Amino acid sequence: MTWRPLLLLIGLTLAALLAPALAPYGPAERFGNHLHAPPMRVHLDGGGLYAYPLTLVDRLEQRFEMDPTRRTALPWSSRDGATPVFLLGADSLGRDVLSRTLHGARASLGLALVATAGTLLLGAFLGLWAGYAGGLVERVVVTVGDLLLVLPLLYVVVALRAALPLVLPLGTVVTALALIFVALGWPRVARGVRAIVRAESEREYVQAAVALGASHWRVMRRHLLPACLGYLAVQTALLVPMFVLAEATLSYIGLGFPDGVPSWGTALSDAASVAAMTRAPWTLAPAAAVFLVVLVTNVLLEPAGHDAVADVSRSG
Amino acid sequence: MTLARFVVRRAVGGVVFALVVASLTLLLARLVPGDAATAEALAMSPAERAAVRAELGLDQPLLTQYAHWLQGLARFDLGQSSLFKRPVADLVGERALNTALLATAALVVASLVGIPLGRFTGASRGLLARAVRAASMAILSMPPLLSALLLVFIAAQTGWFPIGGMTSGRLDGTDWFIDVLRHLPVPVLALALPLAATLERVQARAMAEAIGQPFVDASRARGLTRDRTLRVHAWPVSLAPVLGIYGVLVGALFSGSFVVEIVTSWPGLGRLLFDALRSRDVWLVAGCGAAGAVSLAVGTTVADVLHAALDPRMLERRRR
Repeated sequence: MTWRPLLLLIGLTLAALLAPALAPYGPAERFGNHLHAPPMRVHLDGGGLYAYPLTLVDRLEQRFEMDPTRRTALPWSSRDGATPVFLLGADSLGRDVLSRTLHGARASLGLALVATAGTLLLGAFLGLWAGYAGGLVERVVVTVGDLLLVLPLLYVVVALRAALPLVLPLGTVVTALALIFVALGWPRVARGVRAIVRAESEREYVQAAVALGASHWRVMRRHLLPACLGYLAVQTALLVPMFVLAEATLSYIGLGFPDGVPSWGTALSDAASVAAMTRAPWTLAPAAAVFLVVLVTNVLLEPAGHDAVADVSRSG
Repeated sequence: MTLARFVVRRAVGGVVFALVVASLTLLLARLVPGDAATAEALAMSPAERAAVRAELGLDQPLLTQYAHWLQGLARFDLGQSSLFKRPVADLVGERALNTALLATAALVVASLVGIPLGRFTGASRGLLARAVRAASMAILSMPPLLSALLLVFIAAQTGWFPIGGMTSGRLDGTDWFIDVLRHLPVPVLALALPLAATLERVQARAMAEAIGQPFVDASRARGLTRDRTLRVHAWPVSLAPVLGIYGVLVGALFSGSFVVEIVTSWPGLGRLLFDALRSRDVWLVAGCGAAGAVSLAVGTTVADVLHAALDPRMLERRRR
């Protein structure tokens, strides 16, 4: 069971690292003659893959005409720059939606992965400590954790983010968002870890280790933490899509990444006006990217346990 | 523990919870750099700025403000909104009602769709059940942000429904009611679809588990029809975990309605809080926090009490 979340994690990390390299154009590269250009179809024959170039017919209505007499190679094989090929269309500024979605993977997935790592560390630490030490520590961790779990995540994230100055440098924004995600996410991890540690502490092998004179640190690290690995793996796979969504929502309402940074959320906030949606529905492509991340997680984790469903739905 | 004691205990817990959350929101709102006076700082002289802050009571020490706010809370007086120039209590009451309408409608729709479907998919291995299951997985992966965008997109393309807001123009009586009904489907469905999928999955799993129990075989052996066994014996047993999930769903409903309100311009509590936060409207933020905390406490308490009333084992279980 453990390998599936691990697989997902590796896949998403690779996507965050490699996706921008696969993008045919830069995230900010504009093609002034192709504002809201529709997606182009790819054709295949003896000469390889190609598309027919689009030329602007009416700038005001943003109508384009396909020229079936000429062929343009796909942007990966040759880049003449004069006739761009938009596999997923272009957005309101003439930027390639495919490229922006691929570049957005780095910001969106990167933030989610960093926040997940932080949440796991803090949650596992507090869960271990609470479960092992018991007493006051346990009561405080459980009470604070329960309070945070009941609160609707999104309200709190928005409230905390809005409490900071609205315009911040990029580095500060990323740190602030990651810290907010960690601060709100840890109880999900700590709750289960504490319960497992509680149960395992009673078991003979732990008692034997204690009787043999192992230090607290050694008991926790060598005996109790390994018992939680399976749970931690599943939690990891649940946290990543939750944070991806949180980023998308925050950027969508203008409290996440600054406008200039390509992320799925900022791209969605550009695409979400009704005018843009009816004129160029393909600009909603980042929504499909978010959907895919969540869907893959759900499918991979389906038989994992009862918590899975409830936890994913809470993330909205 | 009797049910009455359980109710009292949960109610007291709910009040404490609401107070804590409301106080934290107020603290957060006060710690934020800037207030209503800074929002229009450039247009005001320092003297005018001081006057605005004095009028809103923002020039006093934090503790005095807090005490004053608590006193007001007892009289349902939550201060004055600097953004809307109206009493916070009226505003919050209005908007909370809109959110409650949206959330309740969504919860009802989700239950009516999700539970029967889950009952069916949990007990059947046919092609139809597999199709429903796959659809449910897909919808489950479409949390409110995505479902709201998708539905707004569909509404914008087809023109079947208004794409946003709660009313179009000022109307009275029946006209108003019908107008609201026309605006409801998009936000309600956006909120209800992921919830329905969640309920379907939980109910299906519980149903499958219940069918694996020996009493199901026993009633089949006594000669009961498959249909009757499922309906009278397996299904009621499978409802326990489904009821248990409602307490969690209240939180999901809140988070979801926030997103849906933003995307579809539904004038609810989430939108109000968002606007208040952006314009640094301290008392309005605190009021929204209080109203949200109270609704959340009421929602989870009602869900837990209903759960306990229907499944008395809840009362026996000690808090771990």
